Amino acid sequence: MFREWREKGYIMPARMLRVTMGALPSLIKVLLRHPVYVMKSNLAARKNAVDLGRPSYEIPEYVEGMPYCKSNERYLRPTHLCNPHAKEIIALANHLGAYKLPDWEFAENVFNFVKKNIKLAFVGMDREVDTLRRGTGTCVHQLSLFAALCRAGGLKARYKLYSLALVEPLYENMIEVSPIMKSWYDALGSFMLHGTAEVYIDGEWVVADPTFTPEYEAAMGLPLAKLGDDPMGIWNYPLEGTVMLLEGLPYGVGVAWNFLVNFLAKGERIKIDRSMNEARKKGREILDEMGEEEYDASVRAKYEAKIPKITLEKVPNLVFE
Amino acid sequence: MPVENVKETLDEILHDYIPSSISTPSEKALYEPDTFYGLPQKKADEYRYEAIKYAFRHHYENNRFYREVCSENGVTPDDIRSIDDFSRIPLITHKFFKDYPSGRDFAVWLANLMSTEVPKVVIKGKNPSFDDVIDAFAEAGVVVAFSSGTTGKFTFIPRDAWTYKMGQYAIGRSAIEMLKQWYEPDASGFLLFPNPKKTNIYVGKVTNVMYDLVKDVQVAIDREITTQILRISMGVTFNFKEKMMSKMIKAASKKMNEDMVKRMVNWIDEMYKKGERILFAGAPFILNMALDRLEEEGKSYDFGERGAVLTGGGWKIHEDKRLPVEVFRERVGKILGIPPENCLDLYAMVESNGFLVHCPEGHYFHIPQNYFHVRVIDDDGEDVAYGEEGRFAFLDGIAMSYPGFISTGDKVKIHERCPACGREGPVLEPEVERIKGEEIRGCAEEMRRIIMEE
Repeated sequence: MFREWREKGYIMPARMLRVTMGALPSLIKVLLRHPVYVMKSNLAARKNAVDLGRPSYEIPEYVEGMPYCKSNERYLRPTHLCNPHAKEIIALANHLGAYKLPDWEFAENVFNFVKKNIKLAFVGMDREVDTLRRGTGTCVHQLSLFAALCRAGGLKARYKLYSLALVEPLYENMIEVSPIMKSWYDALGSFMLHGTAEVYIDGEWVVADPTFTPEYEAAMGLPLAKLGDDPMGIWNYPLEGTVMLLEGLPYGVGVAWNFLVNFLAKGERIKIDRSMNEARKKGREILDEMGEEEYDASVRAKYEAKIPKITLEKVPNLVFE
Repeated sequence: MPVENVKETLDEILHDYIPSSISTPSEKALYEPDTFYGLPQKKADEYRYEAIKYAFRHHYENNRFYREVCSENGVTPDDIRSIDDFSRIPLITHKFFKDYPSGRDFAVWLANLMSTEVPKVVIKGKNPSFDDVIDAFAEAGVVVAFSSGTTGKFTFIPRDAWTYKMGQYAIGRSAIEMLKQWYEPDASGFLLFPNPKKTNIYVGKVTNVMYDLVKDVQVAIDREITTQILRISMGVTFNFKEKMMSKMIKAASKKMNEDMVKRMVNWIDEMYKKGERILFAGAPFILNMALDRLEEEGKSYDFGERGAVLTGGGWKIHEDKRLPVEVFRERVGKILGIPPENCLDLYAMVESNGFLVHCPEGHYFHIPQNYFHVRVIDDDGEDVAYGEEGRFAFLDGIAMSYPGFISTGDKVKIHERCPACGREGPVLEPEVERIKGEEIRGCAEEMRRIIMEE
């Protein structure tokens, strides 16, 4: 059992423990420094709850006998907060083309569903079906939903998590709007945890970053991410030495986070959610005006700075002892 | 009395940076002109054209990697027949220099990047750190300067002795030409950067020439700064030991900063009493700390024309606070009595050997046009019109050890002529920003993270 737990990532890897434990003291320090501000912010949150709206989609009905992957193989089986055997997940996976479409097309449908429909919001950590029912979640919620849908359709999927430094527009929109978040981020020099998913297609792990809806990407001036686009070096810069590949999320991963966003700094969470929601509205206007394809083509060209590849050839004067 | 002929004086002082025989077009463009910023446009164009054409051919012929880039773009040195053809020279994104392997491969990467002959470099150990490799190259006479953004990812640039000396001469000439109304070799300087003898961090290394330009140099940050220390200072730690190091550095910072400010304040006092000419060179926020202290103590001075300030690296003074350049100049004037004409900013970066310096008259960034070609480009890589903003890119005519044809992450605005002074050639607006979507970077920000305890 221990081996399985370790494989599934239920036991927090040392690297994640280090990232988390490294981030907590500065958060506690920031909160303790500004108790009155935090209290006022939380009180104000009661009056100013942000309405992210209902999901724009209907969850398809589960029909007994719908095919789904029952394998206990690594990256296909259920893991913590990522259950591909949940009825709603199976139903949606089938609706998106599981076992009917080629792997890439199915994965692309899953990617587009999560990306276009699940709004980024700083909510407490919960199950993939909760994310699906609510239509909102953090990047980790979205990765869990993406992975669960892929796994239900028989495609291996895993998490790639890391700490990251954000580019300026994201910093302004997500971090600067909350003095607490800003102090925390600035103290760390990075955002504690972010991730992308990876899905195994035709013998290769393909990156999937469904974090932002197209509206939000447009508001931030980012290209509209497609399946296979890696955000590293585009809008995020992972910190060296923090990248972790995991089959599943560790137990306890959300305890501190949930306490933070649901209780301790609820007011700050709402500020960030509101800021992102406002940005999505602006982004919608941009996309309506330009058209998604044209917008993406123009921005993508800008971001695709060609990094030439250098072939490392032996140099006679380099002596290794 | 300030010197009358900057070139004559500096050529004598900086003779170690000048080759015994000036033979290549790059050397001629750098060492021959009487002035960097006052050349007639035609003459500057001639020098620049020859230097960059020569540098392009040099990299094309001696650097396999860059030759492949040229082949992909369908350009050869024969295609460059006038300055108008410079837009055909392929630019390398600055991100390329952050895309390096680790361990022994890092050494191989550096060697493959070089367009000049790699001297014999002995690397010890199976898995050498970046610092081990940098030290090994240094022993062989290659300066591997580095810089870091907020992610702890470095930019590494290898400079052989040829390129390094030309770069040192260039910064010396660039700075002093704009400060010639102040300059005397008998002056004293306070370096607001790390000690160049103790680090390869670019902001430190590039200022080594200051020891030759003035008679006496004090250093604000007089400790070793390796890539590991810089990374830890940026908040990127890999293990418990580094975490502890980070804590210790931060804990010690308060005391060290206090000492640093005290040293600066005492030095200012001493120099004033002695009637010395003084220069502060480096990160503005460090001088700002001393100004804060002097203000708290109710002290002010009147150095007048005897004082000069040459800043560089950016204007962030706290995490959430940017110091407006004009406010800084006003403070320098109010507390030290140094006139705004003697308070200039210098724009440079680890990837280049071009130093753009404010003119005293209007504080616009002037380009050393004799060897350095600036392009301000849009998202499609096309040159923007004068008066417009765009991405800063450059063709460096004196970068010999690596291809110095680079597009950066900085946003600048270019003018056809300086609105404030009569010097020829295009200028940049006094302040430079980062392009949205680029990692936050700045040499002063590096320094700020190294020394601040916040």
